Amino acid sequence: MKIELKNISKSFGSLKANKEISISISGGIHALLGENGAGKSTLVKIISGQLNPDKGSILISDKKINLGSPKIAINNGIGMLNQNPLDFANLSVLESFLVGNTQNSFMSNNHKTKEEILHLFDNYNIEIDLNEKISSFSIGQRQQIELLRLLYNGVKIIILDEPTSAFSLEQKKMIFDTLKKLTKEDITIIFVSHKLDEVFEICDSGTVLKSGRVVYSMHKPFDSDSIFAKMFDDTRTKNKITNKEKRSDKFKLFIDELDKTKQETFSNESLIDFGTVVGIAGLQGSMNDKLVNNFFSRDFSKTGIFFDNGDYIDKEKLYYMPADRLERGLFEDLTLKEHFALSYSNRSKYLNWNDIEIYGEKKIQEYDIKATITQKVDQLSGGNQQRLMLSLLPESPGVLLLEQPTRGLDFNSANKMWDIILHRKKNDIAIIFSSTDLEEIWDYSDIIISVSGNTIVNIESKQNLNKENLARYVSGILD
Amino acid sequence: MITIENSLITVIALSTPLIIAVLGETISEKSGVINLSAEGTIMICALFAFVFGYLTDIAIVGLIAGMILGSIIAAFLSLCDIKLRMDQIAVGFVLTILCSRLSSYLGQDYVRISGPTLNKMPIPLLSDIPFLGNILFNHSLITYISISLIPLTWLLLNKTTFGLSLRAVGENPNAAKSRGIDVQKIRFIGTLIGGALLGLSGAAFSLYAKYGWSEGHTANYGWIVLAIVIFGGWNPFRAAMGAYAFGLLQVLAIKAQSVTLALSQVLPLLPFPLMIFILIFIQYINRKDSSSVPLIIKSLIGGNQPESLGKKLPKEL
Repeated sequence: MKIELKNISKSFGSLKANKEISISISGGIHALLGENGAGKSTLVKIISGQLNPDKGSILISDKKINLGSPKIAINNGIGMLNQNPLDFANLSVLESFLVGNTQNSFMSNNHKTKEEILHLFDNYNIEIDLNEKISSFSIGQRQQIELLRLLYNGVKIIILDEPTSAFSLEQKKMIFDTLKKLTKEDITIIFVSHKLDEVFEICDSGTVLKSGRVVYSMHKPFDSDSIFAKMFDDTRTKNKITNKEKRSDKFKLFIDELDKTKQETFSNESLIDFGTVVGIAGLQGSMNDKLVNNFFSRDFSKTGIFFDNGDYIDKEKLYYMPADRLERGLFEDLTLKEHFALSYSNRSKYLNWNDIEIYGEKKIQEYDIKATITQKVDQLSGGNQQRLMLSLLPESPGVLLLEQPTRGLDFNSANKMWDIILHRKKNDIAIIFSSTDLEEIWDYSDIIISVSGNTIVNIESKQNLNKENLARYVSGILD
Repeated sequence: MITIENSLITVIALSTPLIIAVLGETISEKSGVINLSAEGTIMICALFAFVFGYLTDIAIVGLIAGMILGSIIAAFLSLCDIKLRMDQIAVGFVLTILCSRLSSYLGQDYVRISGPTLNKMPIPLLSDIPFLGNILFNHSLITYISISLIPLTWLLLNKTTFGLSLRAVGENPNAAKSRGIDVQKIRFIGTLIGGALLGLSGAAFSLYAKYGWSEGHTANYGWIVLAIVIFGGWNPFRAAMGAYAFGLLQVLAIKAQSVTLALSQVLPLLPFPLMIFILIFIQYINRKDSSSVPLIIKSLIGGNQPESLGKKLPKEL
């Protein structure tokens, strides 16, 4: 199915999210690339009818369609698979298929519908009880159900908005196979991502957006260097881990949640140098974040950090940064100044706003936060919020416990984040971080803990590990 | 046998307003809106229904007046919610206080005067069935309405497209919008139906269950309603059972007066600690990690709290 975007423009206040975007896709899988804030999500929201553009038109099979209504988009065969499954936790699978989809006011003909849906599930070799509640499935399964729902509705154009973050390797492979199969049935797929390897694997053509404009159009075979150059201002090479100054002291990392049956294969008490970076690798939804949190809450029955001589590391030396920036890390409606005051105030009972301002300005400089001190946190971009969170950790050396420190950040912001973390590392006792991005784990860790689901399957220093095995550990294939 | 029969008749009659209100609140909450004005709405609608019934001397007019006022209050709450994006809880709470005070002020002239009441309307043939006939089919119009509303509410929520859309909106407004549902409209209608039933419940008080008007006439039932909805796990049948159980305890308390005074004083209080206990229990069962609880109990007791209950609509909707 052919889809053409013509001169799509959309502004939010003074921010021009999309500027005169024109793309023509005649079929296959088309990648939509760009760093955070490049305008990808605005564009897909316009295509799927959730946003009305200021200007421009969309043509499907050379026919102009009306914009700005999800219903019209659906009727024109446009469906979207969101980053997180956009479904209804308390509804059954069958009900979820029916929402917004029944013509009759009474849901009488359920039996026939049920047969059709079961048949569709059969075609894709998925066994699912249609009466089961959506909430009882994993995020990956929920995405599969959503994808099948779109097919059931007869979509001809599917938009996938970074859908793979929640998938296990197997599920990802299955989805990719499905997508390839679908292109043979004249279904066009728009694949939004910033993971270049995935794009190279399955896409036939692509468009790179930057600051709301189309800066590059491409077709297979792709040239990764020029894509990279177009996506980012400066193609800085990844941070190199500087050789840490060896300090003589060591400390112990104690973990007691290993798979009991395999306990003998690795020691659960590791002796670690000061300044070590420990990466906890796991897929979305695995216990990798919880493990980081465990160190912080000093749930000593299971995990702990202590010095070689057996003393626990002082609680005040454990600095924790949660994964959900706005849920648990920052206060959306407070200004930066107020945040600095909160992290600064334990030094005196009264707030000295002058001092706080000086302190804050210094931090803003040091952590490269693009904002003024009087701005509210919800006006900041993800990268700036993340750096702000890091800047709020105490300056004195400690153990940094970072839950997914670069979650949702694009390449540049993530790199900047690691610049700062590695800079801090020189003085810190250790850094323990979790991530679902195996590249990140591999690039920055000295010791890697691999987690699959709710079990730790492997603890190993990086020298003794190879990347392929890491991927296998994490997806539970190897244990 | 006679006393059991009489007691059950009283339970069903007395529970009439509670049933209606609980079902209304359930519908409203399924769409994502906690109508915290329930207490105030029921009270002021009880007054209005009585006044209209008194002035026209037709009880049915009172019922309709109650429903209309209940809808108006709910419409106000809903507009604050979907248009002004105010906090449902805050608006509902203020509405409750406002309506309660207003009803005691406006109702001064109507305290303890007699007005129209809804008469018993035995259903021919059915009411002749021994035992059951008297309990179920020898009541007033409003009681029949309350009983038939139980399956009707269930049907509305589970077997109609509107009900499905309503639940979808209460679960995830964003997802509902992407399926082409007009979220604001559905949420408005849901709140409105809920409010109308709260109003009808108030009318059922002053025209039937506890006919007449006095200050604080509805005895804090509005708050009980909110608790029973949770007790019912947002399921109309279970919520109705909860309402009848509450009614039963009230009736037992009255009966107990003839046995011992102490018991009769304890029994009316019993529902409240019992309710708290049950709510704690439900909360425990509903916790996702309470895997020790058998699945059957979980599905029986655990509720489906709508995911977006009480939350403001997302900015872009």
